[in-house]
Amino acid sequence: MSAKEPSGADRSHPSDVAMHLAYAEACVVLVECLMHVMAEKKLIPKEELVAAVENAITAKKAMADANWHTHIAPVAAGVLAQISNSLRALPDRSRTETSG
Amino acid sequence: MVNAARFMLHRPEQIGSLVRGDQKLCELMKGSVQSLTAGRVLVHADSDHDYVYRLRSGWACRNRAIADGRDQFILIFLPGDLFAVKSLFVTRHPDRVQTLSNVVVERIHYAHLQEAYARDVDIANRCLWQVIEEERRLHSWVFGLGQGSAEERLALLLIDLRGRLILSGNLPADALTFQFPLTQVQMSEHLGITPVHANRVVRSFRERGIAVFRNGEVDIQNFAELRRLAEPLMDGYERTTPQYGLPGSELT
Repeated sequence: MSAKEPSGADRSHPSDVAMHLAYAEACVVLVECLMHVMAEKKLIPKEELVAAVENAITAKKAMADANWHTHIAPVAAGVLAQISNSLRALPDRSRTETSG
Repeated sequence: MVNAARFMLHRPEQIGSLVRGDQKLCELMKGSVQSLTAGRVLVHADSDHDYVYRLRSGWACRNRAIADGRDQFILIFLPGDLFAVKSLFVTRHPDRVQTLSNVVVERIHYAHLQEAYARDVDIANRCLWQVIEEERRLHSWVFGLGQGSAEERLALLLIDLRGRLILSGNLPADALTFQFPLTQVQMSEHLGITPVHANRVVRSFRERGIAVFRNGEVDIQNFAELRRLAEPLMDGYERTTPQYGLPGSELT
């Protein structure tokens, strides 16, 4: 994961692009945090959360295939793939319950 | 640098040769010592590279980054490890090797090592042992990535790093605090989870009194619990080696 700043940002005032990117990043982080809370509280099984993210990946790949946001869509699919893999590493509920 | 304990549980008749090989490699690499800062790329991905390295101090890693921004830390190298040993046999390195902290490394040109490898069985054994040891670590890590939860992976990582640092003589046998130069993002890239998830697991370890990360160090506060969490992902070698903790071992 790289940490490059958008160019042209004024130190005292974020540019419009930086603000849009910050909101986009905050959205992804927030949704992922909420997914963790939902899994922890056992509101939604992790398999269903993973399925939802996989669905989003398919949609993003379809966008790339249709030449829509061709530079951004594959990167977004990569971000979603990381989230999907990460959600798979949540504790397995049945295993956790058996081991007490 | 030479420490017979680090070759423990490998065929006993090989230990003498491995220790001699290590000493001979030290001699061969004499005069090549370099100090490098954190974040320095030693081997570029998908590039030709002619050197084999030994880490004298600090941490380094092998990682693979792809065009869509995903990045996986494949292996972490600790003091005493040889790395980029594949330079002996392959021209091109598929993955990047970079420093994670300030390091001191020494190196040898592959042709020079090839000549020594062919002439001296001790040097050949030492090089081969590194490849076998890397394979063991990779097998454990593949199992962890495929089957382990994020908590189990982090527990295994800490047990593994501590055990290796003790075996290489870089940490006292009863130490529970050690330098941990990985950022949370780097940690997540090794554990195969997102930074958000890594942050939650780190916080959970802190809240449960298992381990605390602070100021570039990790402090293991409940070794028995950490060992219990890591247990399912540990291989037979780690489970029976005291430096990795034995079941139910209490160090706190």
